[in-house]
Amino acid sequence: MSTLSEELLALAPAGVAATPDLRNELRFTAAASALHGFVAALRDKSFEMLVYVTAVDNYLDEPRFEVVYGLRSLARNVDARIHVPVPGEEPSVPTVTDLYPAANWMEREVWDMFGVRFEGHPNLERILMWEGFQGHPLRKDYPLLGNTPGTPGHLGKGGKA
Amino acid sequence: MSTQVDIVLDRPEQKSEHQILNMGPQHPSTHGVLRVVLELDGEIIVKATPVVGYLHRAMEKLAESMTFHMFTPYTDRLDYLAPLANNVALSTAQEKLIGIEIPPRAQAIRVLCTELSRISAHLLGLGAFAMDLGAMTVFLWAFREREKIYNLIEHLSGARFTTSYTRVGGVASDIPEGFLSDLKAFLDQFPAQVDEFEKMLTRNRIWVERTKDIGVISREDALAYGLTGPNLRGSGVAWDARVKRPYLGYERYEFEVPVGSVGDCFDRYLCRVEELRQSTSILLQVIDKLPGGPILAQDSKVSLPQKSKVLQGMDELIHQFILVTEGQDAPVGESYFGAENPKGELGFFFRSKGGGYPDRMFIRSPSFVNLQILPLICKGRFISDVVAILGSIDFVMGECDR
Repeated sequence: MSTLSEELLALAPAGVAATPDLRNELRFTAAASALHGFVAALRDKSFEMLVYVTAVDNYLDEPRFEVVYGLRSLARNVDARIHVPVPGEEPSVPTVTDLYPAANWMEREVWDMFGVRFEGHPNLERILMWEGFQGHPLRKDYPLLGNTPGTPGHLGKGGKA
Repeated sequence: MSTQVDIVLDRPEQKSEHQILNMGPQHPSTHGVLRVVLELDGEIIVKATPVVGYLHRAMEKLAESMTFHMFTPYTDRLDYLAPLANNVALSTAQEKLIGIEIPPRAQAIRVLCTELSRISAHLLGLGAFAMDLGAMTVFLWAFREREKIYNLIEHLSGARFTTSYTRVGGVASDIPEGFLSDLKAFLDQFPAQVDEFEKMLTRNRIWVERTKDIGVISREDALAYGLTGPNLRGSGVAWDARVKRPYLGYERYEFEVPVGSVGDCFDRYLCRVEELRQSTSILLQVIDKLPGGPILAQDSKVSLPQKSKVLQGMDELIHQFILVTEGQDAPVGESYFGAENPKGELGFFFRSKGGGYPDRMFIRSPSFVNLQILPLICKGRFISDVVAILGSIDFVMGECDR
């Protein structure tokens, strides 16, 4: 595993580091500026599938968000995960939709749920919540109780439903 | 769930012959609450835009305030056609995070659960697919078989749909008396039923004309769009997590992975039919090889003690109390596990800060990812082909919208 990790790191632009995870899986931490180049390099090294894109909110820590990319190489039968730390103020990362069409909805979901912008995304709209919804529900500071005015089921008093 | 139709209608060139047709969210062939906005030129589709999110229940947010066991019932509502397989995927992912091995008997029971769910889910997929294209008989036959499976599942777990059968470290209860002989009786008659389905469809001229060379997904597109499950294998990619990276002791069973050649609706149909047969074979092997021993990991910090012992022993009572109130103490870190479910890869990504509650849980839903290819393969086809394509992709909105 470590040799593969070194092999892939040799292709990586500056700003990428190997950070093995709990179960010793292939895991990298990349700066937002290095992300697109690194993903492109991995794709050319037989990582032909983007399995998921998600994010983690480290509320009260800085950098606040982490965008997580899961890539898979079928030929090598190995998964790689890339973590991209993003600051809490106006979070944004470059899109990878030009490399993997699958990223389109996945990135829209992260934008919808966490409010992380994907620069260069062809259609960055909400996907699970409706148009006009306020806020990003999977952020840790999104309130768990109460109704937002304008949402279906709102009682008109702003209290608990 | 963005209101794309308004955007499209605002376009000035909309005065041309292009027409907007809303298919769903209540259309019978959309299998739930999927809405497809079709931009039509006569009967030809210029653009198809799937609109999802009508069944969003914020499951990932809910999981953040729940212990690992508390989330299990929610997975029954993910892919509600294969609740047992979802339970298994969740618990296996949690065990990977916590870092425990489960006993061989629990593994075998979980394989049994997954394959039984696969048969049931594929039966509904095939039945509904056939009914949408007018073959009502197959639908009724498939539901007759599904009813038998639900009786088996009820016997096994106590519930027909909301099973919640797995626990961290194993399963909730052992296989009840008489279950294996009932299952064997079902499996003995099932291959003949699959042959009957095939007789009705595989060489049926209407069926072939409506599915062959319709909705072709090339190998490259299937990979680029991240498809998994029978949709990926229908396009000729022999990827099956059960074979490539065996979990739950799948390496102990012999089975084949059916692969399509063209990647059209017909190939995806054939893949599912063959998977019915392969799952039957796996189930028969499970019955033959079912090991004895405990059904829960013998680790009192992780798996619940036996109820009879809780009522008598001090240690067991304390462990049960801690596990129910505080949950399993997961290590700090993260892990991802993807299980080969009927619809594709159902994955769970956990980020833990220690303690019994995950800091973040992400559900990688196969239906959500598989649906994304719809605009690509609908373009330039007839409206009636959309029905065939939707049926062949075989998605569940409960899982797609989470």
